[in-house]
Parts: sequence; C-alpha cells; structure tokens
Amino acid sequence: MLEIKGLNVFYGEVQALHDVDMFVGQDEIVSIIGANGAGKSSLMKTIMGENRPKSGEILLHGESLVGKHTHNIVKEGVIYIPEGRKIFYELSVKENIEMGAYSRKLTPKQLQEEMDYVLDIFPRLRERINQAGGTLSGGEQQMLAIARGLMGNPKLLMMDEPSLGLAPIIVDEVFDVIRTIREQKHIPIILVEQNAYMALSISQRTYVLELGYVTASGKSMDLIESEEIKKSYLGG
Amino acid sequence: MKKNTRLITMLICLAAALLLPLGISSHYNQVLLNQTVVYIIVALGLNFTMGLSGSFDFSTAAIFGLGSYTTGLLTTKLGINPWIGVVAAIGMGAVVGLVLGFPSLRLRGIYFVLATLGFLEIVRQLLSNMTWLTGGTNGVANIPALEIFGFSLGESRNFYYVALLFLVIGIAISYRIIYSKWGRTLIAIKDNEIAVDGCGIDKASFKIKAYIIGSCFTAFAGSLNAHLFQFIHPADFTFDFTVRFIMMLMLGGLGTIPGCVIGGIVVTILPEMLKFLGEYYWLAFSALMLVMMMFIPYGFASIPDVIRKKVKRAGGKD
Ligand SMILES: Nc1ncnc2c1ncn2[C@@H]1O[C@H](COP(=O)(O)OP(=O)(O)OP(=O)(O)O)[C@@H](O)[C@H]1O
Ligand SMILES: [Mg+2]
Repeated sequence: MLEIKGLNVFYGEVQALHDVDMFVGQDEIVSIIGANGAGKSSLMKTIMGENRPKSGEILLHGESLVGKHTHNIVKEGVIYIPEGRKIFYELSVKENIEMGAYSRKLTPKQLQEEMDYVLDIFPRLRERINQAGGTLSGGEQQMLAIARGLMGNPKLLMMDEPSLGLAPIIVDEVFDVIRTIREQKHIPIILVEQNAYMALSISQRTYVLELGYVTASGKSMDLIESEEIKKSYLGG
Repeated sequence: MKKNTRLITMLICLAAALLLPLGISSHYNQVLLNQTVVYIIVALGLNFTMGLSGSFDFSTAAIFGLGSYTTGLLTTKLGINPWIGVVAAIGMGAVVGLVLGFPSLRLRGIYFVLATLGFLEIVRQLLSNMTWLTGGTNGVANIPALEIFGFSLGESRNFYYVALLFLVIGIAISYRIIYSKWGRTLIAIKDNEIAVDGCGIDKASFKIKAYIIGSCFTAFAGSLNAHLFQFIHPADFTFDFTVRFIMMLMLGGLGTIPGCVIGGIVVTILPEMLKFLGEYYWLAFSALMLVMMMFIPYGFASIPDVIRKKVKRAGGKD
C-alpha cells in the first residue's frame, strides 16, 4: 500500500528525518511513536506533499507521491488529520464535515448518505450540527476533525496525535472510533501518538522514531514487551 | 426573521442613498459623493483578497491606476467610446490579476505581498516615465465623460446614480459569491489553511480566482474614476492610496460587505469633514482611526453583534 524508502527531510540546514524506511500494508493499523520533536509530524507532512524530501521515495501502490501537490494526494485517498485539531472555527459542524468531501463529486443525496454515516459514528456531532466549529469542546473538535477526514473517502487514513490534550474517557472514545473505522472501512490507518501504550495496544505494527531516525520497529505485541520501549515510552 | 431584518436594512440604506443627492447643493459635495461610491466598489474588490481569502494585497492603487489609464488612453488617443474603455479596463484588471496572482499565490509565504508591493512601484514608475504613452507626470487630460442615452454623466448627480447602480450590482455579486460553496471555501482558507489542504482543496487556485475578481472590481472603479474627473495623474496611485482601502476594510470589518460600505463612506468622507483643521486634518483623521480601531477591533460591521451579545448577557442575569 504505502512504502517509504530512504527518506531524508531537511528544514533549512537542520535534518528532521534520516533515512526513514517504512511500510504500511492493506488493512492494518500502524503506529508511530516518539518523543516531542522526533519528526513524527514531519514524516506525515512529507507524505502529504507539504514538505519536499531531499532524497528518498514515497510510493502509494507503487506510484510516487513525491512532488505532487497536497490536494492531488488527498484526491488519491490519502487523508491526513493533522495534530491540534485543525477544524474551521467559523464554519458550522455541518459545513466542516461537508468540506471534507470537497474533492469528490457527490450528488446531494450521496453527500447526505455519507454525512449520515459519519454522524452515526459521532452522534455527539449530530446534536451540534449547526453549532460553529470553534464553539465545540476539545474532544468534540477532534471527533469533528476525524469526521471530516472520513468524508474524503480515505484509502489511507493518517492521524496525528488524536488523543493529545483529551481526558482519558474521551481518549478511549477516540480509540474506539479508530477501531470502528478500520472494521467498517477496511482501510489502513497510520496513527501517530505520544500515548505509546494506547498506540501499541491498538496497532498491529509500530515504528519508533527518535531524533529523526527509526530506532525500532516490529509487531506492537512484541514491542510492548521490550525492555527498551518499556523504559523509554511506557514509564518503566 | 434575521433575513428580513437584513433585507429591510438594505432597502432603507438604498432609499437613503437614492435621496441623498437631493439634500446636496454644492458641486464639491456631489463630487465627493460620486467618489465615495467609486471607492466602495474598490473596497468590495479588495475584500475578495484581504477580507475573504486573507492574502495581504498592496496592489490596489496600481490596479486602480491601470484601470484609469486603460480607458483614459483608449478614449483620448484612439477616440474609443468610453463604455468600451470601461470594459477594456475590466479586462485589464483580469489580466493583471492572473499574471500577478498566478505565480505569486502558488508559492507559500510572503511572495504575494512582495509581488503586489513591487508591482505598485513598477506601475507608478511606468506611468510617470513612459511619457510617449502616458503623458508622464503631466497625466492624461480631457478624458471624455461617460454618457447614457445622450445624458452626460461628468461630475454630476447623473454619475452618482449610474455609479450607485453599479455599486448595487457589485454588492449583489459579492453576496452571491460569499454565500456560494466557493465563498465558503474562501472563508475556510482564511480560517485554517492547513485544514483546507487536508480537504483536498487547491487553495492557490481559489486565491488566484479571488484576486482576479477583486482586480476586475478595482480596475472597473478606476475607469469610472477616470471618467468622473476626466483627468488622471500618476501621483494619484501611490502606496498611500492603497493604504486608504486597507483602512476601509479594517475599520468597516474585514470580510463583510456592510463593512466595505461603511468603511468606504467613513474613510472617504471623514477626512473631508476634518479639512477645517487645515494642515492637521490628516493627523486628526489618523488619530481618530486609531481610536476607532482600538474600541471596535472587528470594525463597524461587528457592532450589531457586539450589542446583541451584550443584551443577551444582560438578559441572562435577570
Ligand atoms: N516548519 C519547520 N521549520 C523548521 N523546523 C521544523 C519545522 N517543523 C518542524 N521542525 C523541526 O523538526 C523537528 C521535528 O518536528 P516534528 O513536528 O516533526 O516533531 P513531532 O515528532 O511531530 O513532535 P510532537 O510530538 O511535539 O508533535 C523538530 O526539531 C522541529 O523543531
Ligand atoms: Mg507532531
């Protein structure tokens, strides 16, 4: 599905990613964990065409994404839900969700059907459908960001720290939603998280990023038992 | 309910605008009124870039000037009908919008701001120095007045009514665009560019289109201005002139159409009312602007909302 080979990304003189290799298969949840500044978001933005890699390849079904414009990458079904819930504050919940389907040619009826589908996943958004995005709580904004992402008909969904700043109960809710999405849509999901325990328990495989290097990768089940990971990311 | 209130407000404003010239006896005030209408059209144009898609734009004076010169030169040098000159000016606006906006709005960062600033200076220099074409610092004189059914518009009340009609059309177009899916996307771009990328929207193409439309408005207003005064001069189209329109939007309320209208009126007429202060009038005007912006940071158009919220809060306490 998605293959990344020897990716090097720079911000000016500073190298943010070093020789990153990565693979995401059909129908799996892959998590990326790492401390602040490890380069997780940089990796996502590079996949989305917002950063240009200095070298390396990003292949979606064997076709290179490097050099494509972000909006065209979205049209290929790679949907990124950025960190910090980037929703539209001035638009209503409904308009926010509709925006997610922008690049698709849908009839009003199809749009309504898809809307109903995401609102079934997020009943709380249905109750607030005409409220302005900026007036939602943090958890609701995260749900809205995911709902909007789903409207883009993702073939690959990438979520950047969806649990950041949310109460534990809401975090559970978000992770339930991620499981639901995978079960219903059968799409691969890349999950970037600092909440390593959650990420490891929900995903099949995990990559560990440290200062721009992939320092460990493998089955999440195995990593969760690894002493190194326990010490660095799971609090002993 | 709310829609009705808005419609009624608009009709009252329109009626007032129609009756206004009847209360004006001096030629000077009539010209000022004519100019105000023209400037509001420019504010509507600038609103597409600065107000809606949120790109800082300094090219207003240049595009207004090019609109003026397009029709000014076509009518004086080639004897072309002024209305055709006006249409040509609109075309000029579209071309400049495309040529300037296409490369610079595709790049991220401040390229567009720099491009518009540079363009402003280039146009001013060219208008002053290409003497064989533009008459240089002598300007272009004897531009014919617009005519309609044999009535000359000149600096008269007739001009006002025709310009007002154009303004109403401009407002209608602006509303149509703002309340379309297209306009909503522009608002979304201003709201959150990163999220717009994530929705698969080619935001550059939206910004370019917004800039082209805005430039057409501005160039059109420039051409009206040329036929209003029948004389144009390169020194009219400077950085200060651009800033005047940015002030209108800020004072009226960025991104709102009532804001363009109110801002246009205040920024055009208030300095004239302060002229009794002699050479201090611009200082006084600037100070007043500063004070107004401190007290109503979101512009005049936001006042009804502020009042509504205050009333609500007061009501909640009871
Ligand atoms: N636009 C930018 N310009 C310059 N440096 C940047 C830019 N974006 C990120 N960086 C740097 O790249 C490194 C990786 O940042 P990145 O945002 O990818 O980290 P992250 O793993 O997502 O961290 P966090 O968990 O805090 O979100 C950091 O050192 C950061 O300062
Ligand atoms: Mg990050």
